Amino acid sequence: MNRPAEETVSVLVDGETGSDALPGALDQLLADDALKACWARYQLISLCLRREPMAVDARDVARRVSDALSQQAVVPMVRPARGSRVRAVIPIASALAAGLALVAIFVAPQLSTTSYSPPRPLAGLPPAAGAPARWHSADPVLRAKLDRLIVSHNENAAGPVLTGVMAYAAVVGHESGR
Amino acid sequence: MNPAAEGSTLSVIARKQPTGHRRDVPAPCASARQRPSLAGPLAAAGRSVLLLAALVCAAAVASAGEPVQQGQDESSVEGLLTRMHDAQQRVGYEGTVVYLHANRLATLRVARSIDDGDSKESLLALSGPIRAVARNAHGVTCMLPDALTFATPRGHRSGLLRSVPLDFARIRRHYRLQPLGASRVAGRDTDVIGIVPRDAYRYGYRFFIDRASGLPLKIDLMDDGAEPIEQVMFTQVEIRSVASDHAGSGASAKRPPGIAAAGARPDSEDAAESDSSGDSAASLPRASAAESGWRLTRVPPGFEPLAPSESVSPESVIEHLVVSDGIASVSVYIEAAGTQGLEGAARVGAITALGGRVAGDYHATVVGEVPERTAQMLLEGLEPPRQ
Repeated sequence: MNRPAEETVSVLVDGETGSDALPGALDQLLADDALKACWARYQLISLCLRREPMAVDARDVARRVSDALSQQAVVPMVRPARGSRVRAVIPIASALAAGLALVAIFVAPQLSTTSYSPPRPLAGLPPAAGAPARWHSADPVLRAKLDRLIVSHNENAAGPVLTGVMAYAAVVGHESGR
Repeated sequence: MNPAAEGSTLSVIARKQPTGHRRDVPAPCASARQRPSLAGPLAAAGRSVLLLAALVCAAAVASAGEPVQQGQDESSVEGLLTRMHDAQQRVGYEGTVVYLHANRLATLRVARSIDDGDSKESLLALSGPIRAVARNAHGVTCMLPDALTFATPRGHRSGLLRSVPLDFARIRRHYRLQPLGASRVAGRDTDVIGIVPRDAYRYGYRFFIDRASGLPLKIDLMDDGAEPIEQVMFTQVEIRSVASDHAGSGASAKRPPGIAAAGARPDSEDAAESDSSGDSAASLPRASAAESGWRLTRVPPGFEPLAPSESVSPESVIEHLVVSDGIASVSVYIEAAGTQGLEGAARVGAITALGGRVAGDYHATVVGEVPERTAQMLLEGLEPPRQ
């Protein structure tokens, strides 16, 4: 992934892509898994910056951290002659590092804001006011699952009168908390 | 719904004129009515001329004020629906639409391009958190606030329902097709038609169809009380291209296997009537009890199970059933119990989802753009395979 491509994603996330460049930017995004991951990261960052409700659970952070840890090479330690129980410590250290990173991401910004109390962007909580949460559910994992089912339904079984992306107007048009 | 209630619903819908409705009715022929009377042969000749003028005026009024007339291919309701169905597959466009639901408004950017027979589509929310959907020949990718970006590849079943011609004989049994005059949307002339449900198991639609391209520029989804549930309307649109007959039609150009075969013999009265209407070659393969392990013992009137085929569904889904009445369709997803699933009803816009445990060991989720009572009947009628 190169920097210009990342900048294209950044401009797209910020909603500053011109109408002429929009189709090309989306095509570029959809064709590249790294850019899609970049999109997800930028979207999470922009949600944090705007202090909008977000659902960390749905992003399956715990499983992804766990998966990442399981990929870590385990270096076998030679048992010291004195027989102490030193185990493979790298996964534990990595877990601690990952935990600290999460704390830094999600807790530190709140600690640093002293002038007012921002809305707490905690997973599982419904938006404070405005439109109901998607699918009227406070559970982000369930919402994500229902989103996948409606995509499956639209792609496999949608009726004949409204086709294409316009069938997703309700899914894309629903804006929680506004 | 009882007949009286049904009649009142239909009359309410018929009375309601679309927003911004404009009847292009010319002024009455005042000159014909105000002509002074004449005597003798001159009077007779004058009366003939007046009668002819009156007939011409009447014809002009009829053709302008009621642009949709039965029996005329392109301008009939069926013709307009067919044209709209075709245009959605063949026309490239880009524009801005507003989505209105429950007094809340969202602005979306929509684009569809056709390149060498393949279409690419995107829908992007312009307000609030980023939400976007993009489709191409390989599948659909969603970027929604809750979840990571996820992609669903297109399966063999993709476009199953949208790829076949509309079966009007079947549709008319459960909906009334009504011309609703003319209007303007996004600065373009449109013909307005209504698809009015005959009972409370399905929603109604009102389409504002662009006269130039055939695209639906405004779509109202109505409940059985004729109240709009959600509305989607272009505020600006630019028609980019129109594909040839067999290009760019996506699913219709690449008809999924099984459709042409349509081997399943229709076993219902509806299906038999469809055959007699001459649409049998294009009919969807309908399911028989032997074809699917899971069965729907109760189905709302007019809905028929479709034959199962390969469906691209989430991994946890062990069976995906589909029923349709020719306009609306509903999916039933069955999973093993233990997977986290919806208990009760949920909605996004007009999309209803209803979930619950079935047969003890399974969980089912019904999804579709139908009233909750329809989803409820399907869920209650679900039976597991017989051992």
